[in-house]
Amino acid sequence: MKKYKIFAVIFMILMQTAVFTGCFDKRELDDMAYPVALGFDKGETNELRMTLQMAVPTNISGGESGGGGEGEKSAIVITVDTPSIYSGLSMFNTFISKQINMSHIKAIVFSKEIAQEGISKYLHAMIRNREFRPDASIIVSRESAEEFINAVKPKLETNPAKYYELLLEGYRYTGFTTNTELISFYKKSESDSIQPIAVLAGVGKYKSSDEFDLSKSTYLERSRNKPLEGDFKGGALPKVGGLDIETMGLAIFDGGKMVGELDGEETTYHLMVEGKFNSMYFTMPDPLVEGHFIVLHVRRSRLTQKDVEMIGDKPKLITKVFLEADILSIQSGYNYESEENIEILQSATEDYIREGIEKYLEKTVKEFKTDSNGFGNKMKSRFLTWQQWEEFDWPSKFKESTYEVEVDVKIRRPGLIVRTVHEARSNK
Amino acid sequence: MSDVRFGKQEGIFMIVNAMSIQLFLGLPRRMCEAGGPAGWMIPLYTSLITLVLFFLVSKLYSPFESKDILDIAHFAGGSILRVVVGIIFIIEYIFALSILLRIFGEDIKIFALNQSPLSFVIIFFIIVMVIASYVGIEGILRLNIIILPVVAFALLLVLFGNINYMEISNLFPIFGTGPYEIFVKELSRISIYSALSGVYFIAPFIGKHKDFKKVGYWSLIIICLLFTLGTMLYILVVPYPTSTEYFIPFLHLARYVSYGRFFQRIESVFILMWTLSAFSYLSGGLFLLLYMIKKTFRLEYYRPLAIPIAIILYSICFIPSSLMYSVTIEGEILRRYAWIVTFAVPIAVLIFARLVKRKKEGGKCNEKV
Repeated sequence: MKKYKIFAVIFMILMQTAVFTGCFDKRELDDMAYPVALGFDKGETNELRMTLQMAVPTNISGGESGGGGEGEKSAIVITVDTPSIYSGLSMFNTFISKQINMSHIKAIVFSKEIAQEGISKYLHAMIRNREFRPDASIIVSRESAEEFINAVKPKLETNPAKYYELLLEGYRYTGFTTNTELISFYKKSESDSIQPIAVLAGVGKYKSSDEFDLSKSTYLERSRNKPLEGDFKGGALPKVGGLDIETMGLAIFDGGKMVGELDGEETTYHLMVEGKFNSMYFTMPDPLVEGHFIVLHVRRSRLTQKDVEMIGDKPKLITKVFLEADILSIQSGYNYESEENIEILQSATEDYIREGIEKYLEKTVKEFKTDSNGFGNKMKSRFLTWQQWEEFDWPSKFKESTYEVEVDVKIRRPGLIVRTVHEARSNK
Repeated sequence: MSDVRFGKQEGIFMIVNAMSIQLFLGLPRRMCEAGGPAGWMIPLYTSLITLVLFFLVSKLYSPFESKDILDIAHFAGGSILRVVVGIIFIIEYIFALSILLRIFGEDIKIFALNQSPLSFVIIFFIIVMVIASYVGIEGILRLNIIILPVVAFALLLVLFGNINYMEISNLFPIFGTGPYEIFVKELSRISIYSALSGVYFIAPFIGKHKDFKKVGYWSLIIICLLFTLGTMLYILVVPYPTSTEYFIPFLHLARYVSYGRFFQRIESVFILMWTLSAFSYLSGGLFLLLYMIKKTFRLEYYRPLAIPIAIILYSICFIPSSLMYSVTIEGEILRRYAWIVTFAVPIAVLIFARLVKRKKEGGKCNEKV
């Protein structure tokens, strides 16, 4: 019994040593300042312009704003010109009363300009530090990061961190962005079998709906008369209403260097090929009645099948996408719900998505020349040693790729209407 | 101390804990440096070689039931051989314990107590080591039995928490840096199982030779699975060559775990697991070191040595000028050449002892001493 007591005492001492060592360098939660977003632009007076959006906890909890609800007051934004990230933090700490702690950063925003120059050196600095969370999102702003972060004024959230979290999770039901965590981005930037991507964002310019114009939409590139919802990139959406920032599209990288942009629709196809597509409202032209649209609620039904076949010295990228859909709207009123017509709609949807994916692949292969879908990961398994794989030189082979896309769509449900009956008009 | 007896289960726990600590240090990274995407093959095949070596050791050990390696050395070559063998093991243990003491302290400083001076952080390890060695092997074993399930749970948490990040293609090309690099150049990595040397000193506490064999075999099998699966998990999550960058691989894996807004930042659990494992490893190590000194020099008591030896370890651990240097010493000296002490020296002593026994007894070499 005595031995058990001794053992118990020792165990308690062991546990307490783990607890008490913290007292030496304790830092109270209240003594720290927590940025939620960090922005990088090219500096005017120095190498880097660094912007911090800092949470104001008293306003988040409703302490000063009397019950919350004013998201824009829950954060402050400050900017400095600095030679590096950590010298910038030291500069911030000279005028902020609390010590800055980066462990609650949700979004890391790079301006397009700095992204095109390369962001690897900043990523290395962040990964090396234990305070940066691996799940912070990487965003590329088409405007300056400073402008973007200043434009973040949540209306439905008092907590800016939660705003970023929910906003960046939205890709699950919009299909217009994806999750681009710091750690995934970093790993891909060092890989030669898959290249990184980042959320493309921008700041809306319109003050009133009268100013709307479509000059920045990508609908003309697709020879459409009017844009569909995915024919935009972040910052180009025709919208007003106080929420200025927009996240739509992807920034495509080659290593740590940005080499191109995808709009919303291309991002959807990227997600489908990568296998990350979840669900979205998908608009397509009516296959039989011109000038009308059909809207489907499209979901992934099975994981995308990807493979690479070598034809001579050229890779052939093989993709098979499996989707299912529910009908949301048939503007023409055509009875696609019937057993004989549903096949027409299914096959039209398959053709429409297949063409879109082919155009997207054409862009990544010929224009961006980067394997952002990770076909290289499939190719890698054909080699026995790393040396053989490196000698094969996938990045240069990828530029010569051809592709074969197959799309399988099953329309499962017609919604709450099982058959469309034409409207009755007095004057036909 | 000689009255203390414990079962094979406690013995297995002690050896497994002493070896598994490497998984939380740089072992997975080191395997990736050597084998690339096939880094997981190195612990697997070296464990097979280690099993063969241990089979040889246990066969040679069979007539020396309940004897530790120093007793056997004494039997074979008298006091001189006992002291020589004892000093070899003492140097190895002082080297390993002081290097690992420094690395544990530095790692805690990097990811938890980065404002505290290193000397302050390490002093807590020293206190625990001294108290545990005063209490003796029984207390250390009981502590192991409590700690190991906690560590296993934390490992499972990290494993399941990283499922979303796993990518099978990270394991390809299947032979990584090449069969020659893996199977020939990394042969000396059998040293990662060097903590098996503990079994030569706990033999008198275990008693029966049958149990001695079980402790050795089961410890090796469990550790082989832990090292192989642990390295594979790391490679599945972190692709080569990024996998060669991370200083503390499992800390990174723990940092990736994130389920919703509530279940994240579980590296705090990892820190607890890390600290408990380190306490257990260092305590067991110091006890065995004191035991070796006592047996080598035929001392009556070992307890008065605890504080002086701990102070010596504390002083030696500050000799490397930086953490990078300590890590290089651990990876490139301890984990490459420790097999000489763990396998070569005992096998030589055991063969010599068998010859002496045969000579003394006229051919009845399998009869128990």
